[in-house]
Amino acid sequence: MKVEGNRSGYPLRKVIAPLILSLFSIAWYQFSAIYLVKADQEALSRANFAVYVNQPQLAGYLEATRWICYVIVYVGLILFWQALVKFVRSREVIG
Amino acid sequence: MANPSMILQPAFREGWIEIYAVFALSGFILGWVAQRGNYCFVNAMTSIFTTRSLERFGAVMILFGVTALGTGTLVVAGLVPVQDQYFFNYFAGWYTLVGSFVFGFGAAIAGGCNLSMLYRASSGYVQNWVELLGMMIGTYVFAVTIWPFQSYTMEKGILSTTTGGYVEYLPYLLFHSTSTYAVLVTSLLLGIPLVALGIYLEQRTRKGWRSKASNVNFPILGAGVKATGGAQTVKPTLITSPEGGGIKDLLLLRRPYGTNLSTVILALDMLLVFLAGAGYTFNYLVITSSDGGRFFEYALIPLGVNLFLTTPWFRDSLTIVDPSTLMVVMLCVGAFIASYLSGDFKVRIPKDRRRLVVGFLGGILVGVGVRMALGCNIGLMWTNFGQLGYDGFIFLLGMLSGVYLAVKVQERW
Amino acid sequence: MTNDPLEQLKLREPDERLDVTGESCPIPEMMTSKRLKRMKVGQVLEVVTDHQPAVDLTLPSLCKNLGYPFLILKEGDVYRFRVLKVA
Repeated sequence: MKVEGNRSGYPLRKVIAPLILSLFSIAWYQFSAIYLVKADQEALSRANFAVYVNQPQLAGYLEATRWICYVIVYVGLILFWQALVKFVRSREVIG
Repeated sequence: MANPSMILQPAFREGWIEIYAVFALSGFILGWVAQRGNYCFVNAMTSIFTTRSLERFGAVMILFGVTALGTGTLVVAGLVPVQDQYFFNYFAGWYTLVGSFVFGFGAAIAGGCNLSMLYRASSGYVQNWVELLGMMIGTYVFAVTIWPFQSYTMEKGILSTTTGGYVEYLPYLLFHSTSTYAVLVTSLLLGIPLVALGIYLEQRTRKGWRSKASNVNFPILGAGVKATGGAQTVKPTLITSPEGGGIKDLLLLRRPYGTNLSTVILALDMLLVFLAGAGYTFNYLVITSSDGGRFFEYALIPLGVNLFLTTPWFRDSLTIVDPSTLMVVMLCVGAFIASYLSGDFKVRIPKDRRRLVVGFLGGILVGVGVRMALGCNIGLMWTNFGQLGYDGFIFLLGMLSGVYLAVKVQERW
Repeated sequence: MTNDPLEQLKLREPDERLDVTGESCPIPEMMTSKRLKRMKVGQVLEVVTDHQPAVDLTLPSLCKNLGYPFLILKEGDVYRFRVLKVA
């Protein structure tokens, strides 16, 4: 039941959304690398072992997040590019 | 006789990168499938009271049954050490029943359980963004008001067990043993009736449909049929029901996943983390520690507010990060990509703006309820069937009661 | 006016409209069920929604349980789900 290319053109939200996804994944990784590492060190310095995450686990989290970030950025950019082409084509048809 | 072991033992020798990667993949699958199948525990329960339909509730029973059989099989086959199945079994107490009731009520008025809240938020539903925000606030409210009292009752055993683990493990309760035989019999005793019940409920509902439909046709006319309001005028075409069509339609996201297909995939998803995370971490699917707890905590860290140092519950129950963190993030990503590729993604605001207020208040109740119950419909109820525990039954009863009350309240509004 | 339920659904102006755009399950189904209870036999309810699962799964499920014929119309991104309340 999909309706594509209606009279008002390809929706702009479909062009912007994948970009936001890519930006989100970058932001998530950066947040993790900066703030979560600092928070973990803070927990260790206060000897709060209920919240402290040991170094191998935190390193594993950061490494996995980094690779997932790469994948999401690439997927996001591919979706963005496809959507942009459809958007420009729909504008050409209307125009 | 020695007590059963409470020392975790990994099923595989793997690094943390692999564990986080598997949990991330599992979250992606969970979000994708739940979005495509519109899988919602709250909807499964509200349907019982609004339309007398037990079809989706039956699917949930099948999910629980297959999960119990699956985890039991993995343990009996020796792939997962038995202690990794019961190690994280919850405490049971008054808070399980009260919390699940509050959660069920809140989720039903807000418009989604934790799983559906996340995948719908990722699909653009502003109602569920607001619910998520409310949930974070509710988690904080719980942490500062209820948790000190609740943890006291847990510690002292006031209407509560004082420990989880094998104490709440059904094979141990029934046979006073955690042997392969005990696990096998218990998982069969638990799993087979649940699956059978689920199939029965689904068949009974469909039989009811068939008898009611015998005198009435139910074709569906699609495309832009001429209608009020100046719609495009297109010759109407008779299309098959949305559940017709083949695998190609499923793969190309032209039609949603059926409830039973979604059920099977989700059960396998649970078994994936059960196997991969065994011995390392909470090896089940869990959502609310992250979306209600950690995300709120994370949002405040850049502002210099460290809840993990200052606030009850945050400082004694919530590690900075764990595999479920990445799982929940990827749940959102999977749901977003599924909704985007299927053309469903759109920012949607309820026409009746008061619904946003209701969603926020419901979200607060969701946050309070899940923290009281020590988990949500995923992380406690569904998970506990995989753990061969009994908390899941308590939660189910409480949640059903809460949903029932919410339906009655909404019928009077 | 024809007695065929589907023709009635296609041609008749709905007696009541329920706009649940922006809402997701279980709200469309719950609100529809509530509204149908208040309506008389023979009346047509039109539910306006942009939530595809409601149109694919929950609203048809509701109608099948109640034994009411229904019709789905699509207008851009929005669905008009019409139900005829029968005896």
